[in-house]
Amino acid sequence: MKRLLTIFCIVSAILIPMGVRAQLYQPPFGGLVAFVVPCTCSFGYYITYAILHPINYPWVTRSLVFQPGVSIPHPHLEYMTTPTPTSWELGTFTPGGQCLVTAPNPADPCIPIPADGTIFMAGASYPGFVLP
Amino acid sequence: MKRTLLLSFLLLPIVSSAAITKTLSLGSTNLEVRYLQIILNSDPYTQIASVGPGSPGQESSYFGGLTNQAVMKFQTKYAAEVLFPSGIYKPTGIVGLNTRKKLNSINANTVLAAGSLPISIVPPSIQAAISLTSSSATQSTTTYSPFYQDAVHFQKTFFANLQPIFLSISSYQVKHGDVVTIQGSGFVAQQNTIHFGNQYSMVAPGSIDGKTLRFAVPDSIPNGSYNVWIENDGGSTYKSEASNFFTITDTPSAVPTITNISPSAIQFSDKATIVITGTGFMDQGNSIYSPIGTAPNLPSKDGKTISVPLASFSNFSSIQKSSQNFKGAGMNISIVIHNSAGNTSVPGSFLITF
Repeated sequence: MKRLLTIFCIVSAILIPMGVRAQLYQPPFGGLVAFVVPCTCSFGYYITYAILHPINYPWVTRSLVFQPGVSIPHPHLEYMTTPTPTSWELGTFTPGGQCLVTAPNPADPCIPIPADGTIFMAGASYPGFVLP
Repeated sequence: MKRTLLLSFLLLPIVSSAAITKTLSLGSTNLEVRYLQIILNSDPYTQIASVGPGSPGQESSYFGGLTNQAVMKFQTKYAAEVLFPSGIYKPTGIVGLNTRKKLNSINANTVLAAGSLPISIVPPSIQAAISLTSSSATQSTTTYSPFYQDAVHFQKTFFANLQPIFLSISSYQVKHGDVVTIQGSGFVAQQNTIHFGNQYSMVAPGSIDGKTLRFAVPDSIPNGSYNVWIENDGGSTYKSEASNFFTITDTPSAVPTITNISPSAIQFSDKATIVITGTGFMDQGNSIYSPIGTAPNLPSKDGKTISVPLASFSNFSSIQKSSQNFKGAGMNISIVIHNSAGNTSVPGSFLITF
C-alpha cells in the first residue's frame, strides 16, 4: 500500500503541474476511486474519490461526474468507461454538475444528485487492486 | 514474419465473412444482426440478455428492443470513437459507419480470438492460429489525446442547443402562481410550449442558457395531475408512458428537506442505521439516492424522520467487499430524498468511517 501511495504521489507531482499549465480553469484532482454509481438518466458515472491531491490526511472524499460527450477520457479509456473501485485516477474537473438517475417510473423526470464537479479530463490506473 | 503473413491470409476470410457491412437498426433482420449480437454479448456491459432470446448462445437475426439498448450501451462505452467524430453526443442505437468499424475491430481482435463465435464460423485449425496471434492483435488499440479543441468543445457542449430534453423538475406538487424550474437541454430563447397533459398548455418565458425553463403556474390550468412535456422548434419531450407526476392543488405537499442526520459519523457495518430528520416526508415511497446507491420506498411514520440501515443501500454489498481498501478513511456521503412531492434541493450528508 505504501509503495503504491509513493508511486502515485511521484506521478502526481510530475503530471498534475503539466495539467495545470494546460488547463488553467480546471482544478486538478487525484485519488482512489471509492464508490461508483451509474447515472442511468444522463449516461455517465457518479464517482466518489478518496482525494489524495491536493494532499489530504485523513482522506476526504469528492464526488465528480464523468459525463460521456463532455468529459475527455485519456488513453486509458478502457478504465474510464467502466470505472472500477480501487483504481486510481488523475485529472481535472469543472466545478458544478450533477448525476441524473432514473425515477421509479423511468418515463418520469430524473432525480438529480448534486456533484462537486464534472470531470474535464482524466486518466487512470487499470485495473484496480484489492488488498488481501 | 512468414508465419505472420501466412496467418494474416488465413484470418482475412474469417474476419471479412463475420464482418458487419450494413447499417443496422431497430427492425433489421439479417445474418449480420446475429454477428452484431455475438459481439455485443462478448462484453458483459453490452450483453443483450443473460437468459432467453438474445443471450449468449441464443443470438438471432432480429434487431429488437434489447439489441437496440445494447447498441446504445456500446456507443456510450466507445463514444470517443463512434459518436464524437460525427459530432453526435448521445447514443443513437443505429449501427452506422463508425459503430460498425469499432464492432468489426472487436470482432477481429477479441471475439474471434476468444473463440466465442460458433464453430461453424471459425474452424478449429484457424482458432488455433488465432490464439498464436491474439496477443499481438489485441495491442492495436486506439489512443485519444485531448487538445485545445477538446477544451473548446467541452465548453460548447455545456451550452449546446439540441432537441429539447426534459431531465428534472423542481417541484411535483404546486399551487397556482408557484414558480417551477425545469432542467434539461435544447430549450430555446423563445416559444417553448409547456403542455399539461394533452389538454392544456402555456408558452413559457425563454430560456437564457438553453438548459433551464422557469415558469409560474397559470390560473388557466385547472387543479389536477398532469404529465408535463415541452415542445419547441427542435421537437417534443412527450413520453406516453410518463405518469401524471405533476400535480396542481390548493394544498401542495412541501418538497422533502433534510435538517439533520444522526449519527453524523458512523462506522461502516451491516448493523449500522442512520436516522434522517427533516420535513415533507411521506408515509410511504421515500427513496434515498447517494454515492452508495439507492434505498427505495422507505416509510416515515411521523413525516419527520426516516430510519435507514446502511445495508439497505443498493451498493452496500459491493462496498463491503472492498472496504478493506478504505481502512482508516472517513468518507462524506451526500444524500438526496425523492418522494411524490419532489426532491430535496439541498442534500444532507454524513460521514462513513471504515
